[in-house]
Amino acid sequence: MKKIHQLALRIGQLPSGARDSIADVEGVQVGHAAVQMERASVGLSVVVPYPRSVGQRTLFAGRWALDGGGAASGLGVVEDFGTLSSPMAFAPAPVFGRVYEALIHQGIGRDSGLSTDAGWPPIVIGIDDGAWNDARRVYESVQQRDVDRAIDDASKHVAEGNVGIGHALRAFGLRGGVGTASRLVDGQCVGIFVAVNGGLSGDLRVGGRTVSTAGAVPGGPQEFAAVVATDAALLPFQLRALAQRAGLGAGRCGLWNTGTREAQVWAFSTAVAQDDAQRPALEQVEATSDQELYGLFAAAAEAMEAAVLSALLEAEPLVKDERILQALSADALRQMGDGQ
Amino acid sequence: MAAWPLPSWAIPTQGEQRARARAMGIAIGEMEPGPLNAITDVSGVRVGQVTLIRGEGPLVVGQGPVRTGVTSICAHGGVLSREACYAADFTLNGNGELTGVGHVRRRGLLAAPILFTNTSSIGNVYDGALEWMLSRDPHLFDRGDRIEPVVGETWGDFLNDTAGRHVKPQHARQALELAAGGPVAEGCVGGGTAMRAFNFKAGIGTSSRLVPCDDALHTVGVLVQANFGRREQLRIDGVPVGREIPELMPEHGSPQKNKSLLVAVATDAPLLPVHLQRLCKRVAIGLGRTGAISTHGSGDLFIAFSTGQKIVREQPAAIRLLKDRWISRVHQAVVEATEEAIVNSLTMAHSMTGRDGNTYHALPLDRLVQILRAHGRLK
Repeated sequence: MKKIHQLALRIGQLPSGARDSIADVEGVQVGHAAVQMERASVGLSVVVPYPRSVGQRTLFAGRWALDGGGAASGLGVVEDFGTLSSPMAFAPAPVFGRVYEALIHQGIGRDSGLSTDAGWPPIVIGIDDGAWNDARRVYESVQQRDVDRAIDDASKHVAEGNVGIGHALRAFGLRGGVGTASRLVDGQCVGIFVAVNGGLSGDLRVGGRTVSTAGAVPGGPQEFAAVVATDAALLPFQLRALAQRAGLGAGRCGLWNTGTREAQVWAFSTAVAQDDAQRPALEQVEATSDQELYGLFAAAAEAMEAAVLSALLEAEPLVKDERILQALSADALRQMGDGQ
Repeated sequence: MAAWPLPSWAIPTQGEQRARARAMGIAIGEMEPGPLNAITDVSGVRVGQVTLIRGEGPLVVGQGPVRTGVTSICAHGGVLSREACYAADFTLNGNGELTGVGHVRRRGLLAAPILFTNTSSIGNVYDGALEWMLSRDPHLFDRGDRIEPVVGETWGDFLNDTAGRHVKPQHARQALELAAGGPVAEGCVGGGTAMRAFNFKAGIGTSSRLVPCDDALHTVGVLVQANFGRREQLRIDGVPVGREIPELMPEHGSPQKNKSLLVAVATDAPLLPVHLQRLCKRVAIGLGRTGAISTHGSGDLFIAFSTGQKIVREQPAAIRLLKDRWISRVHQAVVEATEEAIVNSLTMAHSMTGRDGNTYHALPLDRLVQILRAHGRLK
């Protein structure tokens, strides 16, 4: 059971899906791989938008970025075509190239033509997890097979906290991690997967109220990345708008602040899966009205807020070289719950 | 017909002679090129290329035949991550990859080398380039600048064992170590080794223009990796050359569908990112002059940088800036140099046979000269 549920903390007004995770969106899976290193803590996470058994499929997508958003591949296609067809790999920034190579290898294994509807371009999201890791050591340690392991690990069970890319993240002066959540609106689901990295010491808020973060240390990275999945039939410009609203959710809990240097949120819809081979020249795609869109915006913001908090709650303290990075104390939130 | 001098690196096929457009008297546009008519006319700019040509016969994934490589472009010979340039990028059609543009957009700075390669090699080239950057700037990761190499690709599967991914990180390092000023090899070299344009063999091409602005003389240089276009579209200096040479089409199999153009624009004119983005857009006009239309399958990705001032760590308190009224000339220089660089990528590439005996034929220069004469472009 997720700790956020044990605490009976309710974020926002909307109900969550059965798993309260991005995997509540049909077809979406998440996998992690840890990389064993001496004196370091590192890993990778992948969000797989549809089962790997599906050969050719293109999904509508959009991306919101603050200040360019940090390292990412696949920008040409997502920004110009509004589509994606690759697993999204969250990786430490120094190994961006190697992770790209691993995804290309996977893509070629499926289709030597590597067209846009068969897993190309790879989407690698590079994250600065250097606050507690030596970037050079990370660069030397993460290998292609680690990406393969993360993809093989992909399932509907989404582990949170210090798994995958969540190993060495830092947020609000505490140990960060990965988190997930979902929200339902009129039978449609919006799910979030976030790498919680950034946020200033003392800035964490839940339900608008500041949360005590005892033992927090100042400084640290100021960037984060997230993926939003939905089964609502959204077009690329609507998905970009949905990603922006998820960004607002990050602002609500203080993850996005005036010191944030880079942030990126990718969003995709599983509703309109374009299968190029079978597609007639003209096709009718489902669409969502503006009125429905506003409901989904609320879901994206709430799910982001919940996912950030869930990541922090699932994180464990990190001890290294006689330094300690504390995890968020559940007691701090329990006290808040009593006061509600 | 006069014989044109063969460049020393060329591997002639059946006595093919290759020449740059200008050596044949083809003068694109009105402006004067720099002394080398190359991107390296922009002072400090360096180009290095590694070409991998190995094996022939049937495709055996992982073994070959290999027709690929890496082309590197460095804004200067110093430590790029410490002395950055203003830069901007433009996507004409997005079906391609150019890594690191997120950072270029955020900071308006290029603080890393640019490398062009084939599609499946982005990861390895990125990896090797990062290693090279670390070797020159061991504290790269410690300053929190998050600098990334800019790596672009085009698809060269018709001749090359692309799935075998023969470009390794060390080839990217080599291409960077080889980077130098001076003449730039064109045609079937570096990242352009397997490429074709208008279904003729093509690859790397370069050109430059001098831009007099008051008492200053600025230079604009362009380097292209050309891999696009249908035959009947090809126009050279406005002449529909492609329609007049319907034969010499690619042999065996169906020609690949993915088409792309990567372009790097360098200038020593002191310009800001906002101006450099406008330059990038003018690359599209140079592309259009060759008859291409930027298809859905194309990754037409352009990046421009200015060596006009080096940015060390922080935004300087004062910067130099070319006045807006001179910008149009720089625009014209970009359009002309882009067109000529694409033409050079064709006229300098020799015919090449690759995997499964697949062949791209070179644009026949004698025919080209005849056609341009018939249209009054050459005497």
